[in-house]
Amino acid sequence: MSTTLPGTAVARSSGPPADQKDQMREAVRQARGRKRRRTVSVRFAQLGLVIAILGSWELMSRTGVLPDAKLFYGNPTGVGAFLWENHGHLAANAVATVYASFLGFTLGASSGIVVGLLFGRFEFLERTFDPVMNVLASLPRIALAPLFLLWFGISDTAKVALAISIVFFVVLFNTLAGVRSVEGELRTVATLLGASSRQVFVKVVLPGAVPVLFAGLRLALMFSILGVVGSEMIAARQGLGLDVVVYGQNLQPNGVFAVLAILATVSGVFSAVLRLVEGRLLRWMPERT
Amino acid sequence: MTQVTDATARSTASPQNAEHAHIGLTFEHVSHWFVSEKDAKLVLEDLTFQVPDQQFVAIVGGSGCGKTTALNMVAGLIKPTEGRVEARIGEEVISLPSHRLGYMWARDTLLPWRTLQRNVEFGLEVRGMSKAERRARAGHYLEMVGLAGSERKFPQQLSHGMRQRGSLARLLATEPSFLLMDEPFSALDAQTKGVMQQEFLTIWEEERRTVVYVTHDLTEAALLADRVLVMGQGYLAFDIEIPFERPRKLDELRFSTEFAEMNRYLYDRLLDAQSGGRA
Repeated sequence: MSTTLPGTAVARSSGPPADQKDQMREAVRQARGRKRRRTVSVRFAQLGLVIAILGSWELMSRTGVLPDAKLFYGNPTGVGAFLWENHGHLAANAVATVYASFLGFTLGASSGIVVGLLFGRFEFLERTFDPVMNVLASLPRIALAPLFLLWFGISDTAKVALAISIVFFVVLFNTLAGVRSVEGELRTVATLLGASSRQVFVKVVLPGAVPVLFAGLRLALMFSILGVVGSEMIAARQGLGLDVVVYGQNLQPNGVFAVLAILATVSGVFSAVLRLVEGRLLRWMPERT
Repeated sequence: MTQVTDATARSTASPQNAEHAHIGLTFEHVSHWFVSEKDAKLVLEDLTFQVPDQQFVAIVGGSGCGKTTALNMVAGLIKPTEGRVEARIGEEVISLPSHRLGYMWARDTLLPWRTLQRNVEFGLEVRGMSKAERRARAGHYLEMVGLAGSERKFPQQLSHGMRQRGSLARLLATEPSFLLMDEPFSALDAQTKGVMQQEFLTIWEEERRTVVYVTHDLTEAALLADRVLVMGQGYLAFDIEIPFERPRKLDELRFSTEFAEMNRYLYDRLLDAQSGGRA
């Protein structure tokens, strides 16, 4: 074209490509450094907060701000000492509680998943069972403990049964919600690509349900420990739930806190394991918290 | 009848008098109501047309004119209340829905938990193709749409344009003889859209098959199709042949005078259709 076109070309002020690459690398390095420094300072602040809480607790109990601390409030060094002196006994009871919780979680969650998937696949089943399930799920399950104790005696079975009665419904409803969360469009796409209804279920609905399902499993893990400890608090031969009641009645606050510390550690470890599995299965998710 | 003479013949001859061609798609007095609990709405009214085998036909019309409903009938997702929809590949009548018809959506519908490679393999996997074979085939089509090197990425890690390319590769990998496209490039930015249109057209021109392409974009319809069906509310208003030669170079065609005229013509017909007119 011979006519003059409007506008002028704008020159870019950039160095040679090699130079740019170095600049880019440097920028990435700096950004990483900033992020790491932020993380490190958050960690220090977190540590500081914990020390401040424990420190002021210790101080208040020693100075008498908390009256009769030995009988009612305990203190961190006392808890530490209690853990050390009773570690054999506590460990045995922790094993009993962890074992029952693990069993309750595994059995409750797997049956919850299976039934949830069945309900997700066959709407007729789901609708038939819906009223019954809703009534059972809305019961405060801890009130079932006497029944389980009656049936199974003061035994591990009673604890596990209570845990299952909570875990099962949590996982069932989350599995169903997970199945429903898979968009109809993805199922249609799979069908049009030639997938049979079984293949759609296995290859689309199942993996699509995993994120919501895992949210349910995390909850279920906590509920499993809750069920077991609750059952132990009502009646048990051993277990941390039994300990916590006994120590409370004997005015041993350090013992109660020692048990709480163990329970916190146990659920922390359980959660971490679950998070690891989840991270592996949900690699494809954009952002996880 | 060789592929070459067949193709040249079709690019000049009007589809109506191309009697040697098989019929790929038939709509015969198709009417459809969407029925809800409160009322029923007539979305398609006595739709009748035929599409010759291997023709690229675009259906255009405003929102809610029933074009996607018509497409979903070809896919077998909707059964018409009245009338008959029949798709054929060659002589054979296809029972719908069938995986031999490829369907492409406007929205990205890759499975988010599968890598790009495994998404493209999906249609092959459910058909029981061996792992080695489907891997090779998926690789081939990913390369064709310009995604070689991104095989192991998850959809969330890809741009919107790349995801649509991935969908196209997944569609082509099943090697369907019949393509149904529902505004496949409408969600893309102008430049990516142009590139994808050209790529898709080139692939199609090399290996022709029947295409039903639903779009609200008249320019796109005129650029790609052999024939444009303009719909009014629920009915077929105009049936327009697009005479541009193939293979088409879209960047040239887009700015040519004939194209501007055709575009104008289509635009006027669409306005006619929307005010209730018909041919």
